[in-house]
Amino acid sequence: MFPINRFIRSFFKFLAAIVSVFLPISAFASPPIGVLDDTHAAIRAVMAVQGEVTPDLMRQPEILGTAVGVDAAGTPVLTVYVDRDAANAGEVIRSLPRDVRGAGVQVHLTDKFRAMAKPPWAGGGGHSVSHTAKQTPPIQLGTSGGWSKDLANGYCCGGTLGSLVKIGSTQYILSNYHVFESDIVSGGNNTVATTGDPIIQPGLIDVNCNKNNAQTVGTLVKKSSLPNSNVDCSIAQISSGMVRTDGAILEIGTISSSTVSAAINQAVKKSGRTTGLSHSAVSGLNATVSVTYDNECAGGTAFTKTFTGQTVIANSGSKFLNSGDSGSLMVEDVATSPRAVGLLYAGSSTSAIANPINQVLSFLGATMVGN
Amino acid sequence: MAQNSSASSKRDINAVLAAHDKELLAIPDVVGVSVGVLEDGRTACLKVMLARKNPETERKIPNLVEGYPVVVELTGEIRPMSP
Repeated sequence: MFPINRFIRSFFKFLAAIVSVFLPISAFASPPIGVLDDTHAAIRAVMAVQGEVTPDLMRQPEILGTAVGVDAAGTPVLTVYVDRDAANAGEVIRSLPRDVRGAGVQVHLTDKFRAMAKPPWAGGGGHSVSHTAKQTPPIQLGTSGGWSKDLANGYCCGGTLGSLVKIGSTQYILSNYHVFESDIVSGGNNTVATTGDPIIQPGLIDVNCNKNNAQTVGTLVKKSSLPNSNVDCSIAQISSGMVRTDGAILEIGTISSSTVSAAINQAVKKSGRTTGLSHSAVSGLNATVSVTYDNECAGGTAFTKTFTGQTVIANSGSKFLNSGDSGSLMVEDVATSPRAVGLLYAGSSTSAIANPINQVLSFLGATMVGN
Repeated sequence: MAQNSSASSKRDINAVLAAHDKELLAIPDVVGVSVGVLEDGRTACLKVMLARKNPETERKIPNLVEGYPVVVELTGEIRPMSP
């Protein structure tokens, strides 16, 4: 589950910053803003600099993104977003150059981009595939989704419809317990997750909390994997015609029906709602980790679960996995028919955690849908 | 005898983790323990995940457990992705 309000707040703060930059231009500069698009020579020059320096800048966890902006005089500059909550934000800012090959550098202090690790305004990502847009059915997995009633306490939540599994000959969307069915108290929305509830694409977080702007792609089959089992999983039986029956995942394609165990330094990738397609490597095996769960969207603490035998993946700066990516399938990083490795569900800004996929499949009595 | 035990006499690291994970997780701010390798890419170690930097906590974490090196990593809290 991922609450949207914080994102909206930071988005509007960001919007205010943009407006404050653009207002002087629209008021005094002669060329309209529209002229400063990516065909403008000065913009292209800064874009070239941006492409060159962004990978290095982004290695610092305090730097959240870069963009091509304009200064108060309307001159294109490289904008660098620095985490306002970072303890050493001042030091990071002082270490930034004033200009790079003639392009001015301008710093914006900002909240963490919690809802999108690659926000559309940050540029440099080059991703053309949206993991949050409503798709034309049948949908591919690796996309935003969730429980249709995941709205409580003034927030709405959601995660990733990660992959497709089958039990017998029936196909189900695989995601996390805490994405589909962790509302276990009447609490702020007077309801609890129940078998038969609609599962929607995109999730409420990507449709302004209004389920009428999303589509039903499955029905919840409650599995209550937590708090008692060692996996954070849930499934939804697919609605006829709404989900690709080959289990294709955005930017990954169809996968293998077989699985592979995690190994240290194994290259892995995933396709998820927030960070899209991302790559990393396994850094720890057989982990015992404690994770605290809420009892509904933005609710109180339900329980703290200690998992054993988990897989740890490097997640510097939350670039591999961020809030909203829960439910993504982690696969081996090969080009064709990758085998599933784990079900991603938790993490921090340095480490991501996955349930070994075989534990998930044996809990469900399921197999992956694939080649 | 314990002092001259060779590497070959060590138990499998997964068994060592299983035997010690509870006591390590009982240390305040320890949120996880896993099996990893040192930066040399081959020496097996135990990795202890810490929610926050706290010298007092770090003093409570042993440098070696049953002959395996222990590496402390500042990970922050491990939360459902999303909260």
